Amino acid sequence: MNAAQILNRALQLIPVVLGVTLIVFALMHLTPGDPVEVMFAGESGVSEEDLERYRQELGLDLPLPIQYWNFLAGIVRGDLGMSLVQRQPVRDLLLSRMPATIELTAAAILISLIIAVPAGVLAAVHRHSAVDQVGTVGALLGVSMPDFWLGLVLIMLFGVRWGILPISGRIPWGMEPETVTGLYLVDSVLTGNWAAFRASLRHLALPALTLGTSMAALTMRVTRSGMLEVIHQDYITFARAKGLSGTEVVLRHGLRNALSPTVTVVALNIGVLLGGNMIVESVFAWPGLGRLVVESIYNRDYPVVQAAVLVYAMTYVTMNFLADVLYTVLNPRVRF
Amino acid sequence: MIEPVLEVRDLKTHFPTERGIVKAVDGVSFALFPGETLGVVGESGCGKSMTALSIMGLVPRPGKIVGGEIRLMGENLVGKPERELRRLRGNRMAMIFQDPLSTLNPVMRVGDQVVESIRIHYRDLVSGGNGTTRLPLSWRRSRREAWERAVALLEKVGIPAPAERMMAYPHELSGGMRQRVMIAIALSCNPAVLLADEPTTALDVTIQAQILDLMQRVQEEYGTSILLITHDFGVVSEFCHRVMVMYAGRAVEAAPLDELLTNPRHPYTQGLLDSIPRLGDRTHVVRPIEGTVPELHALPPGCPYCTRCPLADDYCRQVEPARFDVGPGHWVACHKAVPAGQPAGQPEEA
Ligand SMILES: Nc1ncnc2c1ncn2[C@@H]1O[C@H](COP(=O)(O)OP(=O)(O)OP(=O)(O)O)[C@@H](O)[C@H]1O
Ligand SMILES: [Mg+2]
Repeated sequence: MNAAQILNRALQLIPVVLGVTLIVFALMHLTPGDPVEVMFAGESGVSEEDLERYRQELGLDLPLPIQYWNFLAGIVRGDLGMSLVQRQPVRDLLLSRMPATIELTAAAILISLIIAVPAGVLAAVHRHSAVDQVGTVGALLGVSMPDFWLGLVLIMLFGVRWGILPISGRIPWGMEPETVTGLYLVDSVLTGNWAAFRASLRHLALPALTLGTSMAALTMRVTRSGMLEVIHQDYITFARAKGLSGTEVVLRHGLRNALSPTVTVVALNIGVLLGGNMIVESVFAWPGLGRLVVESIYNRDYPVVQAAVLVYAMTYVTMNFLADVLYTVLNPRVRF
Repeated sequence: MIEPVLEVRDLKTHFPTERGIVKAVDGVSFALFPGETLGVVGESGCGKSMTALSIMGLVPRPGKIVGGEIRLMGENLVGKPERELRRLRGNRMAMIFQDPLSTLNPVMRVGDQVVESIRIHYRDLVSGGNGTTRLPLSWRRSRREAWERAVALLEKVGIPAPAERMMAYPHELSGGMRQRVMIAIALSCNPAVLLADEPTTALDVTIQAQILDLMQRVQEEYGTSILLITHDFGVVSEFCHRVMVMYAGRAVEAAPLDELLTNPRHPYTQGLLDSIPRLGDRTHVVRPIEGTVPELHALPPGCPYCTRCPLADDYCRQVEPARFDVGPGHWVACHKAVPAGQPAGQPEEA
């Protein structure tokens, strides 16, 4: 795929993105309750004129189309409004929570790949064998086990019974490495702070394992069926007829052909996770986007919730796009 | 006497299935001599491809070679460990397939695929075939040399602008070019035996002729022995020295080309020849063979062809015919083809 085709595909995203903003905007104005009243709920000594002044300040008195336009212009400028509760720009709130979610996403995806790709390939190559059956049962367990339950079981075992891993937060208070990227693992390596590296790795272990294993289930099944389809192809027989060993055939000729569906699933998983996983982040008190959303819903902090929905949708759309691009890189035959 | 390069004796390749044992190849014997082309013909499903795959040791699961011998340059391949078979594949024996588009890896550049096949056996290549005398060259050097050799090979099989074609993906080439690439890969290590499974069926007629011509030139230059599997008697009569006819997993007749075309002895061979239209001969009546091939897991006890044979009698339905020599290099497995005076039931060695 060349640059023009990628650009073309990217332009196709514009209507999708506009649609998302429209829905988010509509949600903002369909939810019952006046945001300004929510903002000052429970505070005494706020007059009706004060509220009106705030509405004007926030542009909430303008006609809806103009408000939508301002909303779009705000997004383009990176202005997502003010948090009603924290009284700071929503953008800053999101940015402060983003690194935690990115770190968790990366670790979870890594774990899921380490489990899923070898397991899926082995299951396909040794179809109907014990390996395959163990894999199938494992995947079934993984898919049907709710994340919160798996998280709690891991907490019970590693945190409570054996007491070998921390069960909440990103790092003990006061141990944070100097901020460079906001990703503790990266920052601690960059600043040579090995104590912080160890601590954040240990904190990351259980939430990443929870998300990683539950995602591994689906990824493994997709890898298995991708591989199964590939190993009956003529080019696999031909590769063996050339004199390659079974392992070489799988690694050199099988994997790249088999992995296209896996890549798509993984990219979509990343898209989902980057928006923040509310359940796992809550169970492990992980200070990421998902937990921010949960907190904001409790506090009726609508601008934050809506901005988070927007981010969620955007990352999903973007990852979908990247999956398509990667797909064509893996398959020279595919054209848009 | 000339030794055959490849000798197959009583080969049996069976597939255990839920409905019974499918005897895809059941007691096939033949020999392939140096520089010779042996055509293998027969209807779809009669076990031609499985015979070739058995020789390569690539029978797909759950299929298995359950009996017989395959001697390649005197060495029996049946029961050989996979590791040793692997060294022979692509090296002493190579195979090409019907559809070059599905046989080349779609996501790998053509050049890389040729280079790969050269490098697999690189040690054997630089040491002249016995694989022991010289150490492997450094990786980088061997890669560059293999690349140059690949370009030369593509040129040899008649691909124009080979250096540029090396960078193409299979789908970017025409069918004929792809088949040439596959032949280049198969020939990269000068195999003694080339198993060609319907190499021209997927191509149109003019390209077919070019590919056959290419194979013929290769054969003349290197003395490669070719087992050519095909449906097409046109291809057979152009290209083969001898022909073997298969039916329902068995070999039923074999003869030198002219002998088989002019004096077919098995009713099935006669039926096959009658069922091809002849170009320019309006008086020839095309007569398709009645009926269908019996299911391979439920063959009748006697001659496998008895359900369709116009000459079949009770004896045919009960006793399996053995091979009888009916001429020089010509044998047939049919009770009705036994010349008068020869005692029936006395098989001769082929
Ligand atoms: N996986 C399998 N399981 C069961 N039977 C099989 C399997 N693969 C092949 N067979 C049987 O083996 C027989 C021989 O197949 P083969 O591919 O050798 O036929 P062929 O002569 O090459 O036919 P064609 O001209 O269509 O290529 C077929 O009749 C088929 O029923
Ligand atoms: Mg076949």
